[in-house]
Amino acid sequence: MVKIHVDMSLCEFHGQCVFIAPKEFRFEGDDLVYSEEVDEEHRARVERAAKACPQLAIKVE
Amino acid sequence: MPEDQHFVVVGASLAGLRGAEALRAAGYKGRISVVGDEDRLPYNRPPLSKKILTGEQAIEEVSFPLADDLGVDWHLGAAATGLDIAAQRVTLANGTALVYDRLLIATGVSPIMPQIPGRDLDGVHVLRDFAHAVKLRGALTPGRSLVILGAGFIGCEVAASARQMGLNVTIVDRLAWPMNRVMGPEMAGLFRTIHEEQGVSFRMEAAVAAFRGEGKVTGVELAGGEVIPADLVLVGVGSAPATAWLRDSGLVLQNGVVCDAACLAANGGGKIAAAGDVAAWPHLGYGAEVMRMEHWTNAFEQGAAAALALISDAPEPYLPLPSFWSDQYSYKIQALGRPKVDDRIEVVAGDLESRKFVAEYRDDAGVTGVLSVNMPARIAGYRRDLGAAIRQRATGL
Ligand SMILES: Cc1cc2nc3c(=O)[nH]c(=O)nc-3n(C[C@H](O)[C@H](O)[C@H](O)COP(=O)(O)OP(=O)(O)OC[C@H]3O[C@@H](n4cnc5c(N)ncnc54)[C@H](O)[C@@H]3O)c2cc1C
Ligand code: SF4
Repeated sequence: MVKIHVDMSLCEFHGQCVFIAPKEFRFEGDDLVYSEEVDEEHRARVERAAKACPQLAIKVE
Repeated sequence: MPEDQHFVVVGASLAGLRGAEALRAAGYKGRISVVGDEDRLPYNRPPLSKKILTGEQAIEEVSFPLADDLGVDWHLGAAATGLDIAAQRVTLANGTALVYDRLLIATGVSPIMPQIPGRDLDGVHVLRDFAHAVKLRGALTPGRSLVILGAGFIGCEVAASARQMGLNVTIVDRLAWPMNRVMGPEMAGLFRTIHEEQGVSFRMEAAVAAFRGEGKVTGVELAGGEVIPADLVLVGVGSAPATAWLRDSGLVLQNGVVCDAACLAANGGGKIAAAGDVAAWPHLGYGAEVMRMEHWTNAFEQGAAAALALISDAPEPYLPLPSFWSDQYSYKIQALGRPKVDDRIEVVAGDLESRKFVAEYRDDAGVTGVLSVNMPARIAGYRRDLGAAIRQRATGL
């Protein structure tokens, strides 16, 4: 499993992650919600989203 | 590209790092050397005017995470001083010479310091790199007076951070409206109001004649003779591409390193590309208008695109959607596209009064850009649609 964690004290809600990995990250109202665990097959996309986060707020394990 | 090749990147920051990462992701196994004049590994600049100044984020936290298997030879604290295209050689200030097969230029921009008397006084700051941010942060003591020269995004972000820290802040600019170049007067007026509500004073359409003080700055003198008291000054009047080291190289330098549509440098023989803030290239999605962007997302995408163009047999045109964000107080500003000054502005969600809205900029052909304040959820859809429109204009597909 791929573990995702977003440091919400750093997140500025600019949604690069939502654009790149809409299955794992989305906005609900003004909140960012994300899947904390996803299947291994989605790792590449999740890691791309983490890289594209300008706040370096997304950690992927 | 065969494995015995040497890929050299000059500029150890966002675009350069992304270039190296993209090469590895594409399976390139040869040598990669990255040269940087700063003595630290690549780090993220946007927080330097925001949460680093207010102390909400520790300055150590800005380093980019580096993959263990990136396999880069770092040459840090070593400025590139020359390029010999015929010999395929970059020379460094420390005497090292690097012979390359492919070269990615990603040296970014340097802050402009106008020829104002007193610019060497203590307390006159610029903000581009880590060292600048450490120095500025140390000077942001509550109750002190900060005068900011330049009402662009950096100036406005530092104004917001400094107000949050309890400093008195005055912004001086030659232009009539803050952040005007990006937003247009109507939106710029809104942001001026927001800053004024937070206690920032504006001296717009004013020129600075001198920085006053003995050894240390104590005031900023305007063209009319008035002196605004200042304990510190931030000069944020723009940046110039860092191309001095290329002056005698034979590359075409005109507001940046001039490239073709795929980011390959003119006169570089297909072996040199440029990316990020330093690169100027014709954007085929905008009628081949030559563009140079100073935004994070562009450096991120172009670093990869330019590096891959260098190892590709058929480099593709680089067709980014211009995109930008800024954070000031509790306002999250996001802008997409490339609106023109006379485009019509229409608020399509939320409203200006509540400072929570999405506005479209339109001309006769359709949506040219989008500005969102505190409504990030809507942006992903526009990113997709405007990006697709750009590709369609460029390729007819
Ligand atoms: C304070 C601040 C806040 C910002 N905020 C935002 C924001 O909110 N949103 C946004 O979209 N963008 C923002 N940006 C812009 C964004 O950070 C830049 O677009 C991005 O850093 C560009 O990356 P780059 O790699 O092209 O250039 P740079 O990050 O400038 O890196 C270039 C590197 O090359 C080095 N170099 C220069 N000359 C030489 C040489 N001769 N030899 C060796 N090395 C050399 C430089 O020292 C530097 O380390 C901000 C920038 C700053 C400074
Ligand atoms: S990309 Fe980063 S900052 Fe932006 S919404 Fe996602 S986690 Fe937050």
